[in-house]
Amino acid sequence: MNDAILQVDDIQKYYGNKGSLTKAVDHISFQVCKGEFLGIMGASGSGKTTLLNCISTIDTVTSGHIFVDGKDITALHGSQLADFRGKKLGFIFQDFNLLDTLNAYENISLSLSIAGVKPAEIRRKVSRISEALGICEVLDKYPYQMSGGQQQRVAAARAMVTDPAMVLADEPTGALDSNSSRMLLGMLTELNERLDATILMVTHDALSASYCRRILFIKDGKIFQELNRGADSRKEFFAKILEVVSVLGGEQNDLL
Amino acid sequence: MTSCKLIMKNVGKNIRDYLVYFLTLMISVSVFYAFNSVSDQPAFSEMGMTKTLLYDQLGILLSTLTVLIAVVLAFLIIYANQFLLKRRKKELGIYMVLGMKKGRISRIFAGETLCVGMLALVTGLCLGFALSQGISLVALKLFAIEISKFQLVFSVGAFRKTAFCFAVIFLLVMVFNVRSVSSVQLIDLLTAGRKNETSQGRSRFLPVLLFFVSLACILSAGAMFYKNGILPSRENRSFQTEAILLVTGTFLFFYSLSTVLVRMLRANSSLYLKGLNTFLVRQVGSKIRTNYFIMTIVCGLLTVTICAVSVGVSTALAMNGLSKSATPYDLNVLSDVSMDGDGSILEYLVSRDTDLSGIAENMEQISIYEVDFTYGTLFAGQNVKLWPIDEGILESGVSVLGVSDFNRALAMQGKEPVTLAEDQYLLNCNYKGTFQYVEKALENHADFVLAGIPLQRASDTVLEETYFMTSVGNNDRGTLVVPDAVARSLTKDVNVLLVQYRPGADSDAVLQKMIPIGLDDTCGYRYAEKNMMYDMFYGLNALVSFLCCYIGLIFLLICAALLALKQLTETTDNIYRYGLLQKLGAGKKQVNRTLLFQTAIFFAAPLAVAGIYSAVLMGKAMEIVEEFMNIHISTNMVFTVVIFLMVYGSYFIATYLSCKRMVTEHQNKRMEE
Repeated sequence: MNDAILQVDDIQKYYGNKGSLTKAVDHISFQVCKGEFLGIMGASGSGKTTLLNCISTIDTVTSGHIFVDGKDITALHGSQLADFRGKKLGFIFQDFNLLDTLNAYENISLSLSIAGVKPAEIRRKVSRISEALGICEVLDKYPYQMSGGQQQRVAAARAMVTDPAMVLADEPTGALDSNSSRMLLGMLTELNERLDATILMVTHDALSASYCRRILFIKDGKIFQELNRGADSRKEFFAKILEVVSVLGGEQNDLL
Repeated sequence: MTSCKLIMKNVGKNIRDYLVYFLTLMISVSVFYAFNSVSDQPAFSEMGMTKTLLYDQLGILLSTLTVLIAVVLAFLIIYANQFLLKRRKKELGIYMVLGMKKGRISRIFAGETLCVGMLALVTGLCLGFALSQGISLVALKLFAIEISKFQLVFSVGAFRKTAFCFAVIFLLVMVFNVRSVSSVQLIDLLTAGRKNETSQGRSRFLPVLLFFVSLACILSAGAMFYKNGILPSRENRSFQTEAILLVTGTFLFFYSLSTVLVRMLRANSSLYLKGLNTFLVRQVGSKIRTNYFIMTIVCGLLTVTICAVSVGVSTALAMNGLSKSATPYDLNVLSDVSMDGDGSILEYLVSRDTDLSGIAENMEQISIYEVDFTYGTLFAGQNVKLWPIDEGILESGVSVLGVSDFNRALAMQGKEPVTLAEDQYLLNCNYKGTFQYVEKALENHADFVLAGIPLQRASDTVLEETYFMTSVGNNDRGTLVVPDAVARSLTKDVNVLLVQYRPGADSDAVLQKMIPIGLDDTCGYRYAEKNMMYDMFYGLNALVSFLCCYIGLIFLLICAALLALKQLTETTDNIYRYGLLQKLGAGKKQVNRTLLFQTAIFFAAPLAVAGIYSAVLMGKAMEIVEEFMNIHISTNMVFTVVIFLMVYGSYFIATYLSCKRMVTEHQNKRMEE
């Protein structure tokens, strides 16, 4: 595929020392194309978050290569890494990770000002993304004055505002109730379809996963199965996901 | 948004976190400034010659201490800063995830440090200004100067010193910040909250063994101290051994204490399993185990504070013996020949309405001459390292005294006269700072030429007479005693009138008349009076207490701040444990009680150990004190103890309250969610 925005090439990640070696990621390879909404599913401890951390350069790989926009990010160091994170990636975390010293507007604009965008441009971009995510009325509020759903939407706005090559979301609905979850996922889908944003979402929740276009199932650090939504409706896709999850085993407790 | 705006926002929002840091900085700055500024009080320039000398010594002592204290304060501030950095690990992580470069993150943190630092510097200086006026007042009283001479003064020297020292400290803090920021791993920052302390090796008997070893060390050190006394001296060579034993013992004690304590308490299951005691004991245990280093340092500092007091006191007492031999006369009046001409001082005093003939039993006027060769020439060929206040004498001419004047002075003291042939000389010196060089000079100069006349050494030993009075331990820096004929061919420098009063004479009346003469700038008459010199000696005594209080206060501040910071850090790290306890059904009161207990034990443990040490050391110190029966010292100690407990106690309460607030706040947040 020529328009691959992310190419993961046979990566491994080991933890621990000689005595107890944990293979959190064990020879994983896959590609993500521009404008894709990819989900990564797996049980707790399956290595999905480690995989995401490696892609996001938060963690380093033990072996293998990761290419983003054709550039090998495992070879980046120091300020190159910071630049890469700031310009190519957007992050959405389970616990939002907003800076509580700043209000919503400042939180969103921070990633732009870090990248050195001009003030006029910052204003334009922030208002555009806030309209898209429906958070215009909370822009003056501080994180502790917002609901969890609002905070996560602000976090999503912060992740999207720089027009990153890829948005990485680590259990974005983990701390939200089902209503807020659905709202957020709907918005991610819209961003994906309307703004052509590439989204990579890690989740263990089948409902969240059903919003994706394609899903990779991870078990014991390996890719277990791949599922494409194709022309299915979300409900049909949800049913398919549940089937795979039950095959994966031990995941019944995670069903909603 | 610029970095600048971000810095301001961060400081504003983190003001509570910064509070401990800010307070520590502010108090450090104010104390630092206040004690450095005392020497710039203009009222002190009104002092007589001898007092000025004493006062100069205060300045030198203070500046030496200043360096020491600056180093300790730097340590404290860097430590406090690390605490702040630790609390904000996650924030650091977010900055990095958003693509901020490490250089810029460092700049933001450095900017915040600078911001808070500047604020603390300004407020600290204001506070220090106020404090210094109070200290000056106390110091003026100690040095017996009229309060009316007192002025409000801003000391530029102290300001410069403070600003410079703290600029260096801030710079160091920034270097530390940059270093810690650039060495972090992003993954560690984002998972910082979840990290557990590393568990130690589970050896069963080693801690118990170490505990007994530590007790043995401490006890044997104590026994040795008891036998040999607490002051290092030529007779007491085991002092170093004792100190090492004590330090090692204390270190091992805190290292092994927790294991032994936990083991003992677990044996008593009715106590151990009651309420939150299991949790409490484990918390305290892990606290002491992880902080044995800090605890040892705090314990050491507390003990040093108390030791400094006792050593200072005993030095002051040793001075007592010196002062008697330094005051063989009741009154000396000096006259500068170049200003007042060469005449009878007695007649001049009569002209100023001060007739000494009625009150004096013995009176002699002697003349001190000055030669054209300097002390520098006299000490030539020697590696001379004078005390800083004496450095000027190398350029000034050597004092010379005619032998008959010298003998008349001795006769007044009831001493045998010295004999000197027409071609001989003697050297007199009773000043500690120059004595060794004078001794060497005498050895080097078997003969030399003075005013064209060759002179031979009359004796191999340096005389140690006091032929005129100056302040205690601060007399003759070296005088040549020469035949009268030789002396007469030189230039007269000063005339000195030596006076001994009749028994029961009213010395105060004379002194009152002498004061305006001594302060008169148009003439060169100056005086030294016995009672005044005794006062000065008490001034010196006061000086020692003054310095002891200063050191005590600073060390205490450092101890309390260290403990407070440590306790706050630990509570931050353990906040989820308290949340868990409440989820398990523990009441708010129970949790608070656990917190109070932990904080109390954390503060009390080093104090208790230091208290026991000090009690033993103080017992020894008291023996010395009783020997001399000096009331000043014991009252001073009560005062110190009260201040001690007040500062320590308020830090303890502040720490407990902020810990409690942290836990409660966390709970409230959880409930809202």
